[in-house]
Amino acid sequence: MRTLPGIGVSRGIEIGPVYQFQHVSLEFDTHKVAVPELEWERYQAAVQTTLTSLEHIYDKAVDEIGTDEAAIFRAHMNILQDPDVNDGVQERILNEGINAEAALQAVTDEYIELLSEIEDEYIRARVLDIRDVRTSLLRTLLGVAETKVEIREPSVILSRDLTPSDCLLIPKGLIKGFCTIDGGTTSHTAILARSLGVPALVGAPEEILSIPSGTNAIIDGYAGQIIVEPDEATLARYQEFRSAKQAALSAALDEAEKPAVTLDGRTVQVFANIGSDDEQDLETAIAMGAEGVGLLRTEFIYLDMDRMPDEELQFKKYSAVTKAFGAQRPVILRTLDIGGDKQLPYLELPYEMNPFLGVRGLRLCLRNIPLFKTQLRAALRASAYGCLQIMLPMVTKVAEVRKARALLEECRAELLEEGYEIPERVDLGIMIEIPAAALMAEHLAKEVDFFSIGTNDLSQYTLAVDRTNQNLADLANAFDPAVLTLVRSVSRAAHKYGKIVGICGELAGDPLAVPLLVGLGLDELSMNVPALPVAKQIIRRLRASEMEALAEEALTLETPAEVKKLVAERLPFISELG
Amino acid sequence: MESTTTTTTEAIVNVSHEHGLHARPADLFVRCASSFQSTIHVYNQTRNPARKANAKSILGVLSIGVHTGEQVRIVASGPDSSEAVAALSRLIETNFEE
Repeated sequence: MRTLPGIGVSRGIEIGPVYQFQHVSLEFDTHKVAVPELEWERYQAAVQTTLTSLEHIYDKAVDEIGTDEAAIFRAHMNILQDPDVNDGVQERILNEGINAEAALQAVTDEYIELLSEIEDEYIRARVLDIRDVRTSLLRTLLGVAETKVEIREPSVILSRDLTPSDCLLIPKGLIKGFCTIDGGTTSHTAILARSLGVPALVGAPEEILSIPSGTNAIIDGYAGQIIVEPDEATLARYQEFRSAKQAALSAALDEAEKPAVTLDGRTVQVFANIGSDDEQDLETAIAMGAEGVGLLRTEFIYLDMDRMPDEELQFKKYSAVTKAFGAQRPVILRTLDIGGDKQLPYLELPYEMNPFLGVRGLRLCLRNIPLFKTQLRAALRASAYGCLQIMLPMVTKVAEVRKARALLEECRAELLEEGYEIPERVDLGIMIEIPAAALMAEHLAKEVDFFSIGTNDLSQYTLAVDRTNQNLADLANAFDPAVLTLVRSVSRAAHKYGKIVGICGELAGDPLAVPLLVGLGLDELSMNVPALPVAKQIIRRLRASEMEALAEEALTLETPAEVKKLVAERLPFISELG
Repeated sequence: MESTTTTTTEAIVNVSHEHGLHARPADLFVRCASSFQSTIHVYNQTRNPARKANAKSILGVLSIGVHTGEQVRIVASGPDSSEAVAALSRLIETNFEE
């Protein structure tokens, strides 16, 4: 038995054979091509194909694990479209008449060599990005993308590193976990593992490469270790631990479709964050316990296009979601939330020094009335097919809400005039993600039907921390008592005017946050689909009155760490479920 | 598109940001450059004035390795070349507004 350390980047425990992932050979020679123009076209087509597959991975990552962690795939898309790289490749193909593979290799080698001379964390990460993107592109060019990996039984995958396209080569059902030498907490391996719900380690020692495929091992994503050829006692201990966890999880799954009612009888609605109209995705969400969609990210339609999506297309997609969820399950459609770190290629947005403080969300829509009205019309039409509600992002003040409502009424009048049947009432709510809106929530509550607190942005703006700044990662924490204090006042303001208050930030799906949110009086929690069953199971074991006291106590603490510790200590059952 | 005459504008600017033209400053520089129609190139005037980089390419900008205290030459040509050079120069001169 040997125990090798690593950094646990995805939780869980799996026991099974290891599989040495061999990188597909990407050998090629440099040769002259007959028609350089055609070769250049072949290269451009390969870029397009690779881009499409990256976009697919990005969308999936956004849905399953959140925008922040998916950002790495955006970075790769940027490199794939880097004008300097593509100009360089074009020049070599057309002027030297060489094959695309050789041209790409030469151009990227030049960058890697130049950049490797610079001692800098940021640059090192970019060099890794270039290598990854080059590998994906070479694979497409060489047509080895479809190579099947020789893996027959579910295994723990060992490798020096894994790129997004490597990960796609392995059938998902055969992945028991990942253990790599390279990579960090935000690597693809980590992201993919979390989305699959399997354990993963990075930063493992070189030794892992010499373990023969088929060797039995335990991968422990909690403690951050891989145990090779475990002895009987260790195996027994882990099997017991694992089956306890699995029993808890499968119990949660069995009960997933039942409501989440606290021990003292308070029902908390548990909704899903969705960014897709894929039938399968929607069915999964419902089976996992979604009682509605608390956040329909409409950007998924806009980001997929090379031009503005028209009303018909949007209507088709929105109504697919409302139909799937039916009349009993509300679908909260968030109007276009673009700007900040999210851009649309066909919408020329002016350069902004501080895009997170700039024209984004509702601010952008109110400056692009035709765009906004197209979306509102599509949403109103889709509301005839289920229970659709409309939610405005990035609201700062009452005047903006009034303006949006006036536009909504204008759209309704137009549609009725045109002969469409629109339900008499379509609820209009807002996201609370700007501290000013949280502080003035009482004013806003009079104007809207519901609130949904976006804790990711609310934390960023309250704590003055750029979410994308790696140096401040430890400061950006929604468990911060400052953020929770704002959540409390928003919740109180909503209830004072009889309005519903929900939450749709990543905090909602965190097992340790659920008790606090119940205590703060949230009526609805909306989270990523994989988090649903456990969150509901936690709610069923809480007493709302006790959680109110716990939340009050949490607000007297100084740091996010103290808040988490308090919850973990008072409610030890959470660690067994989570 | 309106017909405009293509003009070329250039400027030499001192980079005094502690990270030079890397990380966030490089990112801001590229995003700013990308918001203009003009073709824009940037050179590390201090170290290697012959190697040009596309100012709209993050890899290009990073690869000319501009450190703090060095000078860059920005050359833009196109309908909005003077605006582009002015905006990029201002960005560097205001130390990326930090």
